[in-house]
Amino acid sequence: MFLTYLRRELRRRARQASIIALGLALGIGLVITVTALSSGVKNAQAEVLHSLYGQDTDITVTKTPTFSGGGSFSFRGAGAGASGTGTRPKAGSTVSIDNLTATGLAAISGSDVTAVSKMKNVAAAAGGLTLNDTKLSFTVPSSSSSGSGGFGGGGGFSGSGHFPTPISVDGVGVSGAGAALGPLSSAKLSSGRTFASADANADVAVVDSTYAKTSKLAVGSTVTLAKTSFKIVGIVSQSAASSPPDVFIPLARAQALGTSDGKSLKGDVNTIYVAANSASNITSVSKDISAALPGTTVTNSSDLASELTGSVSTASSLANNLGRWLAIAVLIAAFLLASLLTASAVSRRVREFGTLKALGWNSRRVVGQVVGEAITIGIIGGIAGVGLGFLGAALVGHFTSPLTAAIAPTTGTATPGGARTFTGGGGFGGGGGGGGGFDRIRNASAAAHPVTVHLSAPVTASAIAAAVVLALLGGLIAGGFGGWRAARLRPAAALARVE
Amino acid sequence: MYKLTGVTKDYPKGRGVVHALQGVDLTIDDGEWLAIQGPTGHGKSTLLQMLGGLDRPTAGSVLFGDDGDDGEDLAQLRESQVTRVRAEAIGFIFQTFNLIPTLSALENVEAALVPLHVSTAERRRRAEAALADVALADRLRHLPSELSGGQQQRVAIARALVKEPKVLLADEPTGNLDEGTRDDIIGLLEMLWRDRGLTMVLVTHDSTVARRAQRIGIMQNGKLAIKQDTRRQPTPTA
Repeated sequence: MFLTYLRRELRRRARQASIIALGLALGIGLVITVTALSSGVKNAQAEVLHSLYGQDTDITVTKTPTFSGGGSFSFRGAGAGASGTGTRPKAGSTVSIDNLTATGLAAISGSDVTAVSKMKNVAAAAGGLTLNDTKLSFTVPSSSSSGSGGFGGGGGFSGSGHFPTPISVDGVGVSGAGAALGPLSSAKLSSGRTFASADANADVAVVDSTYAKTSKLAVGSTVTLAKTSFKIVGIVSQSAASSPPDVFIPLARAQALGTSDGKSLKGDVNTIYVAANSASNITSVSKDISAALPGTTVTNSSDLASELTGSVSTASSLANNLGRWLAIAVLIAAFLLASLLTASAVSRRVREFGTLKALGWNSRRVVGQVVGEAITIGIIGGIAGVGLGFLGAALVGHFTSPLTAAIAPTTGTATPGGARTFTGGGGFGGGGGGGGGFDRIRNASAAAHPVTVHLSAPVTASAIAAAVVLALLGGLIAGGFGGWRAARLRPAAALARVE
Repeated sequence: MYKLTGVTKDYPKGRGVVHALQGVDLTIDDGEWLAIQGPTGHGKSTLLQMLGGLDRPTAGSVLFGDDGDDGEDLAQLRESQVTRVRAEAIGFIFQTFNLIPTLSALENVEAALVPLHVSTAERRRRAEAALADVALADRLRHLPSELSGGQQQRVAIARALVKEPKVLLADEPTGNLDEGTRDDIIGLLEMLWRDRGLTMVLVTHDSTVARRAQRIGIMQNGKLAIKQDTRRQPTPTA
């Protein structure tokens, strides 16, 4: 009887039921589309961010350097003879510098990597070194010709000199977690091979395809870093948005050759790449690391997502702000419409319900009938809404232009993945001008080469489940409202109603 | 069957109060046929609602049961209990038939058995039999809109009687029918009353109909006066 009555009643007021179902379908469809769009944007962000982090990296740990302002500078093997701190080379002699230095990140002890890897909810951790190889060759001027400052005690080269573009170098692990995490893990091998375990202490390098092209490098050729020749074993392509390093070398070699603030980096890293054992634990792991390694900057994907610029950021804000509120507004409107129309239907059926109560139907049964009808309409609306949602998601995927994304050039913040370095800071010699120009070059490059990502809007099972819940909720709200009115009917008053 | 004592019903209307019933005392015997007449708006239908437990009096008691003196006071029962009494023991017939428009004749009759938790097959069987009793065995699948006024009232009678109630309360059952159909319906009701030993209370404007009852009560300004009492034992028809 329940189903027969329900079916006949819905058929009788098919037009009204269709309007309610359509309203719910629009609301639910919009929710699904916006959810799908949001997922698509997140995927696009992830695509960009993974190029920074490495495919499996969830968190990076870095440390902001504290500049002493009086660091030493070593002319290692310079043509005119190396000299120590404060030693002035002979005027007219040629000085060649080739240093592999960490200019933006402070050193972190290698033991911290081990400590992090043993933390709760950490699946793996690996250290990396983000360095710059700077080559400079010049003739030492006579003491009277120096413009501003000079070598030694308090001087240095003035800041606006024509520095060559440094080579960005990442020292990465060659096996285990070291190979699985970090920026090299997300790079695509174009030719040659990537690192093997046997390369741990070898002078081999993997270079970025863009750098290889501009420097006319190929597999088998060499690249010189810190006056050491590295044989190129592979070429990889990477996302331009992440301002990728030019050269990857084995971590042990980077530690052996690199310096930070004049000190050797042997046994140190300046970035720790961490994979959490579950996405839901990323935040808690981040907090644990911050507590365990004070003074470090712990960055995860959600921190970095806020730094994305470009249309992917616009799409994200569109989906998360306008889209979400629009969906909520339409859904509320649909629920209100459904409630009002159901209440109106109940009003028109007052005598009918009064008759049923006179026949001995209790309020619960009458309310159940009204709620049953409303939920059925809700389910129909939900099914139509899922269809509309799929359609909307497909249209978004089909008609949306590819999105662009880049990491906003910032200064003084953490640099996950070693994609960016810090501006400002030290310089040559005893504390003078010099530095700063390198980083601007790298960041300008990143901003000028945004990555293009295709936006798809995947409809997930959870979105469909949410739609089902919303449909039932819409039905329950409308039915509950109508049922409440039906339950309050006094049979005598209902039967006295003139229609 | 019923014993009403000092039944009063007041309705608020605007700033005033309508005294629909003013201290009605009434005893209705088991198997009695009582007709209630009176001008419109003088409390006939209100009295019927009190008898059917569709409304509660402002004051007074409405004892209902096989022996009215020891029966349940419909004025004091909880709503769920009154609903149960209506479901099991009281059948209603309305002037406008009040059939569910989306349900067929058979389903309308079945609707009266739904609260009694009768199995689907048994419900179907009893509804078909009830419709056969009112000569509508060939109209089971018809919707109310496909039936004449007289046929719709027959369906309503079948619906009222399918649960085999003790009491049949009819509010102007012939008010919407032509004279010929009216006679048919009243004849049918009288036959069922006789055959089943029902207690029947019938509100009507029609004196022709009222005169066929055992007793006639007149409602005037919310007060009831018995005009005619020709109580006799119902004689079952052959």
